[in-house]
Amino acid sequence: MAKHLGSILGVAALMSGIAPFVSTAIAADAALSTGPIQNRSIGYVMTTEYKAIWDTPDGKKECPGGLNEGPREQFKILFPEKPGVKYPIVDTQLEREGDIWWPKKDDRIPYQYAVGNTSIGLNLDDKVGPNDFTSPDGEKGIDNQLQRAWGCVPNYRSSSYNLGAFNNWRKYPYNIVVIELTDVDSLENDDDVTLTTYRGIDRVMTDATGQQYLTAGTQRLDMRWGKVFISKFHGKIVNGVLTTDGADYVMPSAGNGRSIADIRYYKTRWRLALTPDHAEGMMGGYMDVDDWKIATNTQRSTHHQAYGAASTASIYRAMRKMADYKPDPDGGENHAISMALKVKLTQVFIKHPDKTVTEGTPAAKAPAKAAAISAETKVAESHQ
Amino acid sequence: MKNVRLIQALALAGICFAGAAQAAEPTQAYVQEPTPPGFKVMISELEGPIYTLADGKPVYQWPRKELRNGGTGDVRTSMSACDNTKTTVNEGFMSPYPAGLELPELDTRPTCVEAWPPVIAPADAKPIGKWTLINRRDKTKQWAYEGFVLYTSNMDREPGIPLGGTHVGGRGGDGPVQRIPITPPADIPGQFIVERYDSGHQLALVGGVIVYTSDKDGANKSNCYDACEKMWKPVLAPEVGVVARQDWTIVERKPGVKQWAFRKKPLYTYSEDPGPGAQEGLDVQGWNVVFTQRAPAPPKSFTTQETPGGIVLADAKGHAIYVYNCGDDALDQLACDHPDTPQEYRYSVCGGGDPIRCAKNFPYVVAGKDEKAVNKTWTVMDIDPATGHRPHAGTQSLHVWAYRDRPVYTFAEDIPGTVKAGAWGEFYGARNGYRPFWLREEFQGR
Repeated sequence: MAKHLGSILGVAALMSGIAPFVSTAIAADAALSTGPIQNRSIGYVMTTEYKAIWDTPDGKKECPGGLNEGPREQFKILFPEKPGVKYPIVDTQLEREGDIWWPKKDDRIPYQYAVGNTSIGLNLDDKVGPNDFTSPDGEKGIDNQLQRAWGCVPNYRSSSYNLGAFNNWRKYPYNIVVIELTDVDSLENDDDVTLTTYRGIDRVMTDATGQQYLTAGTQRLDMRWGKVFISKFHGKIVNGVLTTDGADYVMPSAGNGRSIADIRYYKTRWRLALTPDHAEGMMGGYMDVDDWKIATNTQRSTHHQAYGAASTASIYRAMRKMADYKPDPDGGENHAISMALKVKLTQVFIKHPDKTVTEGTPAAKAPAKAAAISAETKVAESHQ
Repeated sequence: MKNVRLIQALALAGICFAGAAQAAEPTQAYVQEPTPPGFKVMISELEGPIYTLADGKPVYQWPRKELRNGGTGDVRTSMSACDNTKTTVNEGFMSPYPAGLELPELDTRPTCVEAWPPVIAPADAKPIGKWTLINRRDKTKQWAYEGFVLYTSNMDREPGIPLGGTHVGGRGGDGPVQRIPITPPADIPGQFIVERYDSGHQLALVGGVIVYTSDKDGANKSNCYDACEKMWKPVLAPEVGVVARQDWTIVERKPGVKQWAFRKKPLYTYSEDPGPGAQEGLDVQGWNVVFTQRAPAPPKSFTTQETPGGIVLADAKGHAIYVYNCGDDALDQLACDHPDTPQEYRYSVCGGGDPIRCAKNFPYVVAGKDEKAVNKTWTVMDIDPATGHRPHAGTQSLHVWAYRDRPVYTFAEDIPGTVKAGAWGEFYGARNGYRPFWLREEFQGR
């Protein structure tokens, strides 16, 4: 697709003497250089992120065996209260905590996997396979094995307390995901655009309640610490919906515990309905299961997980069992699982770093001697 | 180019440890308070000024804290909650686990009083200032500071070195109810606070906005005007009521406009910092954050690593250094993070209960044959890797680096530049787990 559609149309109109085309082309150009689209680019910041799990209100269709037990319930099953019995903490609480961080091969309590072939998500491999799902509106080929592993865990179902309680994940300063669409000629139809992910530095702008996200905020890009979060995706826009090809992506992930356990998503794709103010849709990919384990365990205590009856050790085992990508080098078990995130984004103006500031900021790949760090190494420079 | 980058990395890290650059690093100034006989102030290289007994033993408080299912610790102006009972079961403070589980290593478990001997006052002691006297059950009187009764620690061995507890590397709301060394107030103007980080005692404005100094300024003279002043906001002093303090002066920028200076360096905030705790001004050459007292220097063989969350201390190979935290879930909240305390807690989160797996997943940082203690905070110690305790005669041992008398670790799944095990363990590692040794933590706390 032509990269300067407005200009070309304008020239064509002038040459053919068709005045209405001239005015349309000029208007299109004006729209692409003012308002949220600047220099054929538009930015969005992610405000909401939920894993894409399909469920029914009573769960009977996808979870005929019932829902899974959480840490509190599992503990009671494994170590029932009996008169005169005193359990050692090493064999009970610490055994359970150990299993969270270093899950054993097999569960001591049967796990309920979601059944059926209905789910939501994206087709990550452009194929329709026997294990794929079909969406409620009939889209086939959806890759979402996370549906099987998580579909019967209360924590991840629509009625989950945790979904409501922790819906501000992307507000954390470490976790700010910014996407920039470049080479944009139209938010309606454009067959050649680029989506680039960054980490933003600035807090997401909200109204006075802190609950409603506002458009037209500013996000500076973190080119100092956040280079690992930069990925590029080639895409196209059809009837206002952006779809991209797959690329690997590292998503920033920090949480309650001052952890910084980022999650790798392989062959990530985006499908977003775009407006000048918002973008909404899905980010799908193959999520690294071990990254998820570390991120989840370091950011949600067992206590918090218990609110949603989420036994992360049991869930991890289920995810490894359902994993469908990234096999061991020897062709063994998979380590990544197909899934999608339901995402919402709000338009922001992106401020790229001033090169005069970023030049000289260290990449520091080589370890620096800690004890040698001193004020003497400061490089004097004018601050005028 | 590579060398230039390395120099810039060092400079922009903005990190300097006590003793690394010069012999006598300044220490945190404090307010001299009326103090009873038998107490004094010593300067701890890590904690700054602390109160100790006359023999140098640090004194601690144990303020009550509410945990998930109830609370423990001492209530202000009340009798000590730490007695001679040997606790044998957990209290179930930390959901989702129940109370009544038998604690490990009961044969060697001390009572609360054995671990934390009370500071008993002489019969003729009299209260003075913030220091008061509170009766114990046995009718003796226990010293209290600001209403909380005082203890010493059975972990302390050297005068002025508090190993029993620390203000550094806070463990947050879900950490144990900690004993903390008591300190005289920092002698700073009311606009400022001092935050205690792994890198030292850092100066900030009340509310957490970081303050800076410039290499271009002279002694008590600002050279930051016009364009510079738009980016770097002088921290203005009040018109009236300024009290003379050690380390603090006033710089008159222009008639009637007064700016605070610390150790003769005018103070600023950075307009581009996105919020409290952010210190992006460090990436502008010639600008520094301000420490009232720097942390003791780590071993020379250690390195630093840049991560997506900031800069961490790392071993010689660039693997992030972790400190292990642990407090048990008993009524007396005894420590389990020291080689002389039970190791079962650590084994659960580092190896699923298996000491060998644990040593593989979270290896000790082995010291070189000729490496010795750098200071009182960074030391080397012998550890029996099979037990996690100090070795008995004839048992196998490793010579490892220790911070505050506790071994430090790396994480086997880390590569240089990652900090995967930050908050690893129960309750984000605050209760029983690991935290990275941050030299510049860029995002948290904002």
